[in-house]
Formats: sequence, structure tokens, C-alpha cells
Amino acid sequence: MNPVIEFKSVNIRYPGNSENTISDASFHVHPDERVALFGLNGSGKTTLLLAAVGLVPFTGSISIDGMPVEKKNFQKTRERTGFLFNIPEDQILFPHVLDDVAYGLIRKGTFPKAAHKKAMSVLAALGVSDIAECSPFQLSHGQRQRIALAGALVTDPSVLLLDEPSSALDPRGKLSLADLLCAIASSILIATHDVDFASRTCNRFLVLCENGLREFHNCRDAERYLLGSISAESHSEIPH
Amino acid sequence: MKDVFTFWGCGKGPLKYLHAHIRILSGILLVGSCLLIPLKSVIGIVFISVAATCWCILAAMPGKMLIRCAIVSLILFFPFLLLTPWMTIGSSTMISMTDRIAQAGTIALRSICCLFIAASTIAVLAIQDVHRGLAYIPIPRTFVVLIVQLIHQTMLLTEETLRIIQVLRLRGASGVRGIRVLFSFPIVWMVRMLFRAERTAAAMTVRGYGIEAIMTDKSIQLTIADVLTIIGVSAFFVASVLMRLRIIA
Repeated sequence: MNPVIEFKSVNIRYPGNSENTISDASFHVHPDERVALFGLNGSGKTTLLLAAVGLVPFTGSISIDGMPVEKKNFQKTRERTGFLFNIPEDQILFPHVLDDVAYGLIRKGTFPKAAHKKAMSVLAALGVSDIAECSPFQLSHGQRQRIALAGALVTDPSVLLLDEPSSALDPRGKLSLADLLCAIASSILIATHDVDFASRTCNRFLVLCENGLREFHNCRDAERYLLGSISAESHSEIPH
Repeated sequence: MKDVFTFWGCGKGPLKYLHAHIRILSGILLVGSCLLIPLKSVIGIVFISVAATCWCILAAMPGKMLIRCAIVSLILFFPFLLLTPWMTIGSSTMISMTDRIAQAGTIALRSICCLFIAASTIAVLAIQDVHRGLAYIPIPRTFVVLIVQLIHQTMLLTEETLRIIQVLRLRGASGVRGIRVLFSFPIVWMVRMLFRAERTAAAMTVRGYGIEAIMTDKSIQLTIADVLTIIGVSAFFVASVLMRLRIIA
């Protein structure tokens, strides 16, 4: 089975920095797989996600849905990707919730009525259909996060890249989001610090640290590794 | 500053029940009329005053907001009256004080009427209606996208600024000791705004934001109130154009 997300020897260095933020990162995500990406603050989790949609320059190769992430393919790869930024307000671009969620579909040529209907169903699945006619400025941070997520989910993308999707959610919201993500047929890469949410949602776990990327099949092992209680040698490197 | 958020849609008058695009279009036409109408005759002054008053009554803005609008207009336009003794009309400086007061007064009246009409229009327009309202007005889509983003981003920046102000208050940025913190405010503010702009641009890129953002259903049915309002306002606009062109007195 071909991977849907594939990173091969990816290096990322921000202008002005003497060292790479990401060095030689290689991993893949298969269809219907949900992978959590752990890492300490500043380890480069968000950078890795941004690179996957071509927002950060990198060396090496990244492919989304079999398509290399490069300038000529940016539009196509982005159309297949649902992206949730870690600050949800940044990606809400309309002063009306339903219009914002429906935008992804309208852009693809869906008629407004059908787009709004689908947007309503996604909002309902996230438990926020009652705020569909509101302005984002009337809403809490958690509600905004769900709206941003709804905007990412509405197009049924083959790839979902989520940056801290549970950071502003209450316990009930986290549970329902985890169930929802488990039910959808997208390959998901989640950058998170929320171990409980990740263990409920994901079936593979990556830890991004100074030694590079490490792969785990158990969330608690990944957490322990991150905390430094398990030596790096006892775990397998991800095959390139 | 919080009024920026509460002002939108705070009006409770009958204008609120019109379609969003009719409200916006009527507001624009009324402001246009106020700018065009000549105020050299009493009829012009009566016209403009009655139009602004009627629009304010029909919007039924809360008293608190009306007072705030009055204060703002006083701050903005009172200086015109203070400058009256030095005012010149055309190339002539040898004019009577009455003419000067009339000239300054008409500038102030015109500006105040425009401000109240604009404020009343915003008061009957919830922020979530702006996008759909503008989409139905026959203006270029690029322009609509720009206006919508201008309003949306201004609101976001205001929200961000409010958060910074709250932090400054919480951390004791008041009194003499607070002056040092206040000096750092513009730097903190600017950096945050720049980062936000960068992140929003990234989000727009990923979401493919463009003129497709303007969506209309086409299946909108105007009510009798909509039709009557737009006819009335259009008639007023035409009358003001004719008065400006001196076709009618």
C-alpha cells in the first residue's frame, strides 16, 4: 500500500538560523492511519506540518497522496489536505461561521446551498450546529477551534494535518473529536502534547527530538521516551 | 474599545428586518446624498437633517450608543467651528462672520449627518451579515473580498489589542510605574500584529482564499419593505443629485 504522506530525508532550516530545525526526518503515513507527532516545545512539530503544505522551504522530499510537494503541485496537494492551525482564529476568514466552514466546498465548485448543507452536517458532528449563524467574534476559543476544524473536515480531504486540535477543547469535546477522527476515512497526522487524546485517536506515535524521529506503537512508551526515561537505543529507528 | 464588537447589530428598529444588502445599499446611498446635497438653502438643511434623523429613528440605536456617536462627532467636527474666524470662502477673505459660521456649520452638519447615518447602518447590520449583504450588491467581487477582509481583520486586530490592554492592566501598567510598560506597548503590539498577519496569510494560502469567497444563492426574494426602502432612498439620492446640479432648487 502506498503511503499517503511521505517524508524522505527532510531538512528544514529557518533563515538566519545556523542549525536545522528539522534534520533528516523520514516517515510515512498509510491510508486510514492516524499518527500522533509528539515533541517538546520548539522541537519542530508545527514546522513539519507547515512543510507538508509547502509553507516552509525544505530539502529532501515530501509527498502528499503520491504527489510531491513542490511549487507546481502546491495547489493540488493543498486541495487534498485539511489543515488545522494551532491558533484557530488565524484560519477563520469570514465573519459568518457557516460561510467560513462552507468555503472549502464553494471553492471546489459546489453550489452554495449544498455547501451550506454539508457544512451544517460537519458542524453538527462536532456538536456546534447551534452557532452556525453566529459571528466568530461571539464565540469562545474552543468553539472557534471546532469551527476551524469543521472548515478542514468539510471537503473530506484524503490527508488531515492537525496542529494541537484538542488544546482548547473541554473533556467532552476531546472525546467526541477523538471518536469523530477515528470514524473518518482520512490519513491523519496530529501534532499534539495531549497524550490521552493521542492514545484515544491514533494508532502510531512519532516523537520528534534532538536525535531525530522515533516511532512507537504504544502511546505511553512514546510519552516515556519523550520524558527521557527510556533510552533511545532500545527503540527502532524508522526505516527510510 | 469593546464597543467595536457590541456596535454591530445593536439597533432594534424596523430597518433590522430588511435584507442585509438593502440595508447596506440604503446606507451608502444616504451617505452619498448627504455628501451631494447643497446646504446653501434651508431646504437642503431640512432635507439632510430629516433624512439622518429618520434613519436613526428607524435603526433605533440604543441611547448609550447614540450618546457615544454624539461625543465622537463633537470631538471630530467641533474644531471646524473653532476655526470659523480664520475661514475663507473661495479666494475671498473679506466675508462676514455670518457667512463664515454658515460655512463651518454646513461642514459640521454634513459630517455629523454622515456619521450618524453610517453608525445607524452599522447598528442594524450584524457583522455576520456583512459578507452576504455585500455579495448581493452589484460591485466587483475583488472589492467585496477586500472590504470583507478589511472588516474581519480589523475586528481580529481589535480583539488582539484588547487582549494586550487587559494584560497591561493586569500587570500594573498604570500610574507612574506603568509608564515603562506603556512604552513597550507599541513594540509588543506591532510584533503581534505582524505575526498574526503572517499566520493569516499562511491560512489564506492553504485554504486557497480568493474571489470565490463571495458566494450568492441568487434565490433571494425582496419584501415590500425592502422595495419601499430602496425606492425611497434612491429617490432621495436622485433628488440630491438634481439639487447639486441645480436642476431643481
